[in-house]
Amino acid sequence: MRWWQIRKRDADLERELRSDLELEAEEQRENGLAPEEAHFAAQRAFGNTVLIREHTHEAWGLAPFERLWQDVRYGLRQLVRNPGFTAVAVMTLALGVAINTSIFSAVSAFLLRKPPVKDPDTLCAISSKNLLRGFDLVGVSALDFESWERQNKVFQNMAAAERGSSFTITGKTEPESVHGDLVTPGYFAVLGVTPGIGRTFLPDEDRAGNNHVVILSSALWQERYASDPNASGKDLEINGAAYRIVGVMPSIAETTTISRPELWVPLVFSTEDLAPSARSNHFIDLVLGRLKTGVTVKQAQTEMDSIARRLEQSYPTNKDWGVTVLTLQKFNSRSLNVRNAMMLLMIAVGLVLLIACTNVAGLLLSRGACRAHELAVRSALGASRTRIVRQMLTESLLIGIAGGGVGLLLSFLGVRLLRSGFDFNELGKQMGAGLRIDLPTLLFTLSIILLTTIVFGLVPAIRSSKVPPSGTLSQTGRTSSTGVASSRIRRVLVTGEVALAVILLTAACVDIREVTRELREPNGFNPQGLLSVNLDVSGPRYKQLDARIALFEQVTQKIRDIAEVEDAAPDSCIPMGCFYSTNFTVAGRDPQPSSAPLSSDFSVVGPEYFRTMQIPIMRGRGFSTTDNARGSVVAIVNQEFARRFFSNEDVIGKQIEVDDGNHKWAQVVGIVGNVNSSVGQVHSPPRVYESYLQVPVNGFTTMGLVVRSRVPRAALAPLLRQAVWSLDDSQPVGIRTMQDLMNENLGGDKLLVGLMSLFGCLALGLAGLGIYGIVSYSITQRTCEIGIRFALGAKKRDILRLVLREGGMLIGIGCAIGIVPSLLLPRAFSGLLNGFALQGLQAVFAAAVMVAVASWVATYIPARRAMKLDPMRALRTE
Amino acid sequence: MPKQAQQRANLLLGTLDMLILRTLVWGPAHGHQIGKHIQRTTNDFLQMQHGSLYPALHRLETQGWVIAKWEKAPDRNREFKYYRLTEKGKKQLLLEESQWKQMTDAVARVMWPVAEES
Repeated sequence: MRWWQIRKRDADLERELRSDLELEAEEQRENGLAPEEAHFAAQRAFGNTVLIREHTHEAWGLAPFERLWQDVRYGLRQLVRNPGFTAVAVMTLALGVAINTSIFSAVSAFLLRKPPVKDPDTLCAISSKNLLRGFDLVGVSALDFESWERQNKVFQNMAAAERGSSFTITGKTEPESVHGDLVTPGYFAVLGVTPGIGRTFLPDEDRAGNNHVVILSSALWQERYASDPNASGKDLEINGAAYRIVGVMPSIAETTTISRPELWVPLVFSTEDLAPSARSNHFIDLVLGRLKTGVTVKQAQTEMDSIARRLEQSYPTNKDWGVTVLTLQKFNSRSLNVRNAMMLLMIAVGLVLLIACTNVAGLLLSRGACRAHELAVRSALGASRTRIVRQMLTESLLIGIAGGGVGLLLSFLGVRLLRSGFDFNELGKQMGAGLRIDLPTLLFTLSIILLTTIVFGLVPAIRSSKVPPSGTLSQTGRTSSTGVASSRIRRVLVTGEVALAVILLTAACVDIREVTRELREPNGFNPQGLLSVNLDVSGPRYKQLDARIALFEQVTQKIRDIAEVEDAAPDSCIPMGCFYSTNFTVAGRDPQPSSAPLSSDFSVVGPEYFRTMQIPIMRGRGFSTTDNARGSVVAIVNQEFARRFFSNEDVIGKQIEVDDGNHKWAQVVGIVGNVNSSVGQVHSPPRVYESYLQVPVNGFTTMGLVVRSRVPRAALAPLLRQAVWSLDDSQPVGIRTMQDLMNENLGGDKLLVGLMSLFGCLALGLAGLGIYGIVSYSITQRTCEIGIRFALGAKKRDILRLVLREGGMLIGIGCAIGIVPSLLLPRAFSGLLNGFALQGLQAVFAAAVMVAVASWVATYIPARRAMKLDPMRALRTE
Repeated sequence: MPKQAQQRANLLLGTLDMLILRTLVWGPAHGHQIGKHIQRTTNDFLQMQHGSLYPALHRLETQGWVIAKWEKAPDRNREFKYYRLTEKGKKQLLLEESQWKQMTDAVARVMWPVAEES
């Protein structure tokens, strides 16, 4: 028998009973009873037909379904009858579910989602591991890559990529700068992606001369070639040279790696790359390997470890270098470096959800007590305790489903908002683009809906079922007020909410303080009116050092000639967007074999640089125009450099050799002020400067200028472009204000602050709402008691004090409990998040005070109502 | 009347099914007839409760031991729901009958041991 036949069956049963009942009546009439009398006699003989029907339904074995359906209908009626209660409960849960779903969509996108290629679990990323410094995701040198490829027996094939290079596409009206990856010919075979149009690279296209071929991403193909199917075979001018388009890749090839390239060109290893000393040049930032069938990542790691040990013995440059094998998915999520932030956010939204649950539980508890009479009647009529618990749980489930449903709808909005929150820079945009409510997110949401329903529904359900019918029925409202146990539960709920709110607000305050500190912190230069202008010198035109120097000399001069420009100077690595560090040695100091080589940030700048940036020269001198190819090489270091590497001696006059491709000793001639390389760094890094007139800057494919002007960017940009294009019209001129760079720099932190503040405020609001609800309920329950107190001569003040004291104690205890774990938060944040300064305890106390004030207000509003109660009415209240 | 009711034995749990099945051996019958038959045959000793009769009938139907059909009664111009024994029901009746015999024999041996020995 199927449940949907139940109506038909029931009608059939009713007909059967009626016909048998009529027969009985007929027989009674035949026995000589009056028709009226016969009817009643038949009824008596049959007994309660409704009961018969109910018992028969049990016999059908469908009773559980029927009861559930009954409960659902009854529950729905109850919810509709109390729209206020329903709305508050549903919205509270919906908010909790929505923020959890939204944040989890980020967890799913960044940490759980596998690359969209075939068999993602067998696709590995293999990195070098610096055993001395403990960095395990370091780039790979060309020779190491070749050794690995030749010696390993665990990968079917391997490929290398140098990602995120910028290419200048010319040939249209304005030169355009695009991101692309340099890849070895086998790259797409390892990925397992086939081109949509054309072909992949041929095995010999990684040799100079054959390498002028390019594969387009589907995005670039659509944008530049309007999805022309004949684009393959056409020529494209890249960095001033003609490249033949050989293929177009489907979009999964772009989304596999974080770099999201717009084009791919062959990675060619130059003779320098393959020189024995170049084993220390770890420039390949992604090595992919496809595991052989049946080989696990662990086995691959073991194999690669032994290869690394062999290389260590064979080559001195490989000493203390190991290998890390990760699945590409793990590698990508590790590279994003958002794991800890995600964890903190998940904890935060989890706590908000817990507060939401506590609120709903409090509401249900209060309502359960209000319905004590109804439940008592039900149990007096024979409802078992499990039946009542089931009834209450069904109602909770309805609230849960409604709240979850609304929450899921809200989370579509939430994900949209979160995506726009990631708009602070290129990487952020790429990360944000991956956010959506996918299957894991949906499953997560469903499980939290179920879990929360159980959490907020079970305790109140069991509580309300404990109501003894006799007591409640005989003694109406007056004494049915607060049982000791249920009031204890409510106290625990309030205390818990307060404590959780303190923790969440502390987290928000710690974050806010950190970002304000970062914003306030001087960065060592004056960002006001500073612009960065980026040029591309990777093309063949600038292969010669002289050409580069000439370009920069002329561009600097042209820009300085612009009337609106106050100052300008070249810089190979403009702070707030560039990180470049290099090894160096000090003359007269033997490099200690056991320790890591000395390393410092490094920048190649023009003579006017320190003046343009307004970096103070502390001692010695800055660069001059005579520090050129004819003069002896000089270097300038910052204070941190002097403090860290020359603590006992004067750095000025010392000879150092920076690993700049120059292989010349440079004499330190000055000390300048520290500059942060990202906003609000707690410790400025050591930095060494050399003059671009003396150093070939081989490693830099882009070189920039810093320009200071009082004119806004919009007005100055055309003039700057004009100046550059008058010298080289194939240059893509990227112009950014320093303020923009700094904002991009802080984007992630600001997003985190925004989210944490949002969650903190939600927690505060929900906790306030919960306290308000519970206190007002308690006053309603105690109306009679308050009336008696008034009647016995209590003043309004006394009643106010009575309620406030009760609320105040709970708030106090809650705050105290919340403060204890909150004290650990600043330490936890600085430990878990990069660049986070360890901050004082003000945040904790600010949070506690905020929660206390909000809770106090939430208590005071109902307390005032209690104070204004009319004693006579209060006493009559039943 | 109340006294009389008390003397009437309550149906032993589980025996009702057997009694219904046995009644249907005579031929198809509707609920009222079945109840009346059991009551009359036991000289009103077993008072049929409609509250247990109909659930039992439906239980038997669910088990597939009886099938039901609306048919016109021969003596009245109205349709009644007639229950009819199935093959499965007949087997079940035999089974329950033998179990009931074993049960009463066992009870008898405990209750009247002397009579048994002699």
